[in-house]
Amino acid sequence: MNDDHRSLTILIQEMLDGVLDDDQRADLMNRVELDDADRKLYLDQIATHTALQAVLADCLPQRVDSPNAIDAKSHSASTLNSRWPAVTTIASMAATILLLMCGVAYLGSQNSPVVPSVDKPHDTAHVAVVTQSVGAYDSDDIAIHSGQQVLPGQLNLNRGLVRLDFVSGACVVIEGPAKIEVVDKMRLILLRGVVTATIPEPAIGFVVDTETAHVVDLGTAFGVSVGEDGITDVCVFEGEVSVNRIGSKSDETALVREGQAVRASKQSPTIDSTEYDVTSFENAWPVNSGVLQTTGSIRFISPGPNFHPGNYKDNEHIVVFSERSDFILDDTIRVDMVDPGEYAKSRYQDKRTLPAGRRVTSYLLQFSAFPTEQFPKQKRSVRGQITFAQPIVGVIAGTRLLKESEAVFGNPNVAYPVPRAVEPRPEGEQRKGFDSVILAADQRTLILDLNVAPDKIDQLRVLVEADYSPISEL
Amino acid sequence: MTSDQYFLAVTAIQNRLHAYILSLLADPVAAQDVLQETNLVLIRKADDFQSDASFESWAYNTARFQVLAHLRDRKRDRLVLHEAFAEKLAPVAEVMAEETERRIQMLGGCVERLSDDHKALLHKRYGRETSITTLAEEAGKTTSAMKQMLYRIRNLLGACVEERLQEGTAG
Repeated sequence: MNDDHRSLTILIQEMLDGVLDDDQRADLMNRVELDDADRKLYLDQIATHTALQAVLADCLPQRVDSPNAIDAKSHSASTLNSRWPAVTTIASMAATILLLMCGVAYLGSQNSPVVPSVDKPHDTAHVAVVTQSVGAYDSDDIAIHSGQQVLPGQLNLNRGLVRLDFVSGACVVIEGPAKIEVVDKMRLILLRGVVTATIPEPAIGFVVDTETAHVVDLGTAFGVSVGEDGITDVCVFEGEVSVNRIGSKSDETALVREGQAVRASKQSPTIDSTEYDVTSFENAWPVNSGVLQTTGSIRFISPGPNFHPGNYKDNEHIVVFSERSDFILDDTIRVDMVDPGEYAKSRYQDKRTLPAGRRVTSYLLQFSAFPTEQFPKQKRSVRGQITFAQPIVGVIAGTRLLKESEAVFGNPNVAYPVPRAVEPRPEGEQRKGFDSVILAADQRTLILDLNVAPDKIDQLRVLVEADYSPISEL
Repeated sequence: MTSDQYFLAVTAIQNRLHAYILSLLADPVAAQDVLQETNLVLIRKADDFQSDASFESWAYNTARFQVLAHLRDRKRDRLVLHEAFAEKLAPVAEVMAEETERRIQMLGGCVERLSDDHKALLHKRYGRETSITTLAEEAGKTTSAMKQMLYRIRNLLGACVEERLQEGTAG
């Protein structure tokens, strides 16, 4: 490398590091403008720098208390409630940048073939499509993008998460590192890694095979993991699956129901019951459930019979429960928020409505401050952000509408506490302690700042557009 | 293009717009501001976008206008130089920016080839945007030694990306 080249490289890097003064910047611009080779070097270095920033940002869904959490408070003092007010735009930018930094690729944004079994669009032999990709790279460390079609064959995921929507309707999320063989629209083989699956009615009978287990869905949601040691764990979140031990003389079929878990290993000839532990599925399941990302103090609850808003106690997090999925409203329903902006109280007759016939999926977000022995009178305060894969069509935040919507979306076996509404800051009020709920302009992100007095609870019901599978066998 | 698709397109082009704006301004702080301003304009003017037009052209044009507006607003001493630079560079910068996504694809594998120490260093520098001075202090090195180390790692990565891009082109 000659001296000119080296000095230009240093100048470019200093520019990228933000330490150039005006004279140095002018010098850089002059050189870049006048010389083709210098211009190429300048543009190459910028491209690499931008790519490095994109690649090296934290790329897996954020766990709780992430340092990358957006500070909702900084947004809440802005203008409220108009179509594109500053607050929603800023919130949208926050969401946009968040997504940018984490390399989340949405449906249809890319189409280049990157893994052996992922082919270019318009190939009619595909059995599934990548509909979400979160920091996902294949075995050659090439990024996997949503929109890519999956052919039968090996699919190795070095890291990250991908959601595959099979043409049969099955929705499977894979968490890397994972080795998968996609057999056909109704079957895959999991050699290593974690998958979670949601199986709608048309795909009942969907099979996940491992080296030691044959798992057949009977209309359900479940997770399967295969560790380095080859042990298969099966956890059933909803419904029922049947599990057979592969490679054993035993032809016993274990029926595994919601809230149960079984294990298959080479060390045991049978399918053995094990503790119901959803920890392994905590990354994959939210993607399966339509939650793209959470930051700050938001925790997505993996389903199970003992996890519901009535009995789940967490003083530190806003917890998210899946409620009804792909539900067709049989009557109009009132909601507190539809458009981007910050939630403010309004009169009942002024509430917006969603029409009958609309297909929605509902989630309940809850933050409680139950008294503890150590801190019986402590107020609790948390912030966080949640981004759904589908657009939010309505947010219910007031006690009356929460109660009304309970009849439609609530769990009939759960005693919901009253009151539990969020308390937005009244106009002109300066005191601390109010709640802030912002629906970002991307229509998918909620930014929350909730404050709860001892023994009280805040709840929000979020209705998102149902996730019609765009996949067909054509 | 529906409003959903439009928003997703704005999201999908962020890396490319960032590279484009940064190259026109040669100033990373200003580039972040202009990227946000460009996003605001793109979102506010969503209704003006003709769905039969190229979204990329629309976005780059918007970004270019925002760069020029930013330069004029700041009334810099060397406004003429900066404007001329941005205008001249814009077409080639667009070509470079369009390559960014491919670079990102290739770079993942190249980063994996680095040692754990180097990966951790890059993650701090680019993922968390830790300053070189802080990195140097943490590592017990001088700022200049840290710059040199990053320079070497970036060179390795640059060569690796080029090699993989060539392989991709050849294939």
